[in-house]
Amino acid sequence: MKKLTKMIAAALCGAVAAVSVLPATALAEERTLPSGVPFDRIEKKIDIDLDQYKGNLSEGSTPGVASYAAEIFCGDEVLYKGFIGYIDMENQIPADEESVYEWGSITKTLIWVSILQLWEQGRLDLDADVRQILPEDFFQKLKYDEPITVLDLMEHKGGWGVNTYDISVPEGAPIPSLEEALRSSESPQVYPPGEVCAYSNWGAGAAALTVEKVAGMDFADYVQQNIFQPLGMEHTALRPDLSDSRWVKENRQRSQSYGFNAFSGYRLDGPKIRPIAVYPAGSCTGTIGDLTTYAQALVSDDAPLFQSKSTQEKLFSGSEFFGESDLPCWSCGFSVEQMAVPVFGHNGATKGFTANMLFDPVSKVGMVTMTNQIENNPVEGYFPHLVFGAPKPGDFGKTTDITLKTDSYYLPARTYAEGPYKFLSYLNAMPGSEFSGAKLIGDGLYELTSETGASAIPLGERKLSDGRTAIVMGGAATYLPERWYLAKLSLLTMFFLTAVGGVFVLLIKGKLRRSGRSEKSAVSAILTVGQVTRLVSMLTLLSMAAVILGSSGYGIPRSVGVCGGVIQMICGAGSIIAAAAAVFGLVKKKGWQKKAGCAVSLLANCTAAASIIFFEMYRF
Amino acid sequence: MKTIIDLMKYDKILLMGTKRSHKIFMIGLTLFLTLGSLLLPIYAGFAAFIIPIMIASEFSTVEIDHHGELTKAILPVKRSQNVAARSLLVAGVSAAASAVLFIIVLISMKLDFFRFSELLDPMFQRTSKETVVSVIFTGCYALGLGFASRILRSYYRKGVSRKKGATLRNGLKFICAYFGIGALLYLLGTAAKFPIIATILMMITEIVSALAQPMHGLLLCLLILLIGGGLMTYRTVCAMIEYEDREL
Repeated sequence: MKKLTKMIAAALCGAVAAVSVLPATALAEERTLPSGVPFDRIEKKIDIDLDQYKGNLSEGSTPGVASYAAEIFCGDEVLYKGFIGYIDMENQIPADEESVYEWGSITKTLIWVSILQLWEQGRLDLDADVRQILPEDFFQKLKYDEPITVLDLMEHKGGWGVNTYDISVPEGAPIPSLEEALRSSESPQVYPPGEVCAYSNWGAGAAALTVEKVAGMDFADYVQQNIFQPLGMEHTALRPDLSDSRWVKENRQRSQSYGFNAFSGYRLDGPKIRPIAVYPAGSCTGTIGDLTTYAQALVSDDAPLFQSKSTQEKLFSGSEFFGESDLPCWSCGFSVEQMAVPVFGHNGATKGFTANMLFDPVSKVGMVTMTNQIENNPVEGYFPHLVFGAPKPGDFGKTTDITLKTDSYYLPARTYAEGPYKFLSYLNAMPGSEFSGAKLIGDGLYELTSETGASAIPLGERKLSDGRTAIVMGGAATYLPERWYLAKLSLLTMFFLTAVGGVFVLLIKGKLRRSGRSEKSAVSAILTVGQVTRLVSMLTLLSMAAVILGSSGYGIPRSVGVCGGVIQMICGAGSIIAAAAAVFGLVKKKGWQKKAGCAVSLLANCTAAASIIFFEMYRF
Repeated sequence: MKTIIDLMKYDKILLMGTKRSHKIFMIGLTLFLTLGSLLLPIYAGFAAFIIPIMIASEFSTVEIDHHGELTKAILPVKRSQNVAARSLLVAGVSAAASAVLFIIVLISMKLDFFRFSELLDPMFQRTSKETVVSVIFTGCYALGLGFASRILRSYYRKGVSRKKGATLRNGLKFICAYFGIGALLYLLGTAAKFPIIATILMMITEIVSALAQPMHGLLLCLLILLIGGGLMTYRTVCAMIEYEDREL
């Protein structure tokens, strides 16, 4: 009996000892990110996944990363803070807490927060017409008479296309005021206000100007006083020349930016600082710590940026939805990404930096990343999926068997819908077949599953006032069906073909002239002028395309636009005159070969003139 | 037009009807290139490049070997009609052969036989594989057409060299030209470490990428074909003029 008692006592002691050495966390509920990654494994997972990029900046065509800074947080708790690479590769300056990066378009969120601050103070009505707030002669390129509300600006529904003219400041030039910068770079209004979500830097700038007029102070000063100072963001600057923070300006000198492409590997990406005149659209520059502080404030229960928590809740309650459903795609200027959970935030890119800020207001989990590299950045897509996971089929609701009816071709709303770059939008059309597998959930909300079936994205239908049905893919990614797309593309194709063909006609004419076989006549001379003008028109178009494509979305100098427009006008006139001469030749010349030549010339010149007019190549 | 068609028929008889014609060699080479095109894109590109050159060279060589030009000298045809017929025949036959080859390439891509070089990875990041393959194939064909027109012009300007090994030397010249152009493009890419060259190359790449977007590169392919066809037309006209002026 004694022996049995001793055995039972020993067993009990052993059990108590075993339980007491178990880690406490094993007994507590494991805390995980929305993606399912446990909090205590974040750092290890990142170290393993991104180890290949540590110090590995380029290996042949395999991209690396110059540097990145990343933070993952949950409320006030920072779960991960990491830096990789060099903020200046040539001088071997490693990225660290004092490294300064450009926010890019994340800057726009400062506008939206400012607007809501003024709204909750009763100083600004979100449904107010901004034309009544801004100076009477401010808008010069409006096409529609409908009011443009403050909320329209927040949702990028002012109706503006992509800006043609440069919103940055040339090196050494004086920095204009926000109002001057906006007046000189106004984008044409191409959609009715309130209908189409078309991301617009200029529209965001107009919203910032509205804040200036209502608050009665410079936008940068307003943000300093009402956002940066209350949050203690001392290492962030907003002005184009970073003059609002000497510390940032000095540290920015240490930051180089890099691009990567297969031609040149890593390269220093141009001059160090490129001030943006329309600075609220993307000029903010600062440390990762400050951006994290800002992001944490936006999910904090204390709502430090607002007088009332309900204002913060309004900011993340959704203002634009997929179809008529309650699934948001945009929320008062913040994009809503449907990942494993709905995630709010914004990303940003300048000519040399990229940044991303995303958070889930429910779980308070968020992430901030900043890099000094554009192109082939392997880190860009990694962190959002690490933290928030990917949506799976069925996450948005039960699908039916009804599939989305699509048109043939769609153009992105965010495009050069008018002006000399209108032709570029026709080169970026998306066939309707890209959306055709989407299945209806209800109320205009559809689900499009990936090819593998592992993930899905939501789509929405939106009926427009002109009878078309747009497709919304989330945030400002709206696609509009383009009627007669193939006919318009054929016109553009014929423009290029007749211009290139004209080159060979000129060569043949030259050969005939040198061998003494050419016909000398006024009609022939005018037709030759037509061939030259078509070639010049095409080369001008391609040159201007090269300039805009190389501007990283900032726009072209006005001088380039004016030159291009004038040249195209002259070429258009030349084509019309040559077409008239071709008609004359067709009537007067004898012989089927000459008549055929005149007919071809007539077709070519009419095509060139029609293209210059339809694609607005003459506009500046 | 009837005269030109008759001249084309005459050329075809000359090519296929003689014992010393190289038709077995040509058929064998074509089969070899076709089979290679099923597996390696570089073969497909080379085949598209070499077919017009081969056809142009063969017609010229066979005509000289069997004194076909003497026959044409006594026929009631203009010299310019000779040139036009030859050019149309070369362009037509090479177009038909390249079209068949292109279909083989598309089948090979569909069946996933192709093994792509990693040099093409940057292009695949910008656009689809079908677009890249179509544009490169069309570019090789247009280049071949350009060289073929050069052979024709040279033939009508000064005839064909009958020196020993001339055919082999010329053949090697074109093979070197094909790979030489590829090497030049690669060197250009390497030289892009210089900022000005990188900027120019990037701008060209941006424009070409933009033109390659619509309809899997159809617009860009049409432009490239027009350039090849335009060169062919220009050199044909030059050959017509030079042949008419030439003392036989």
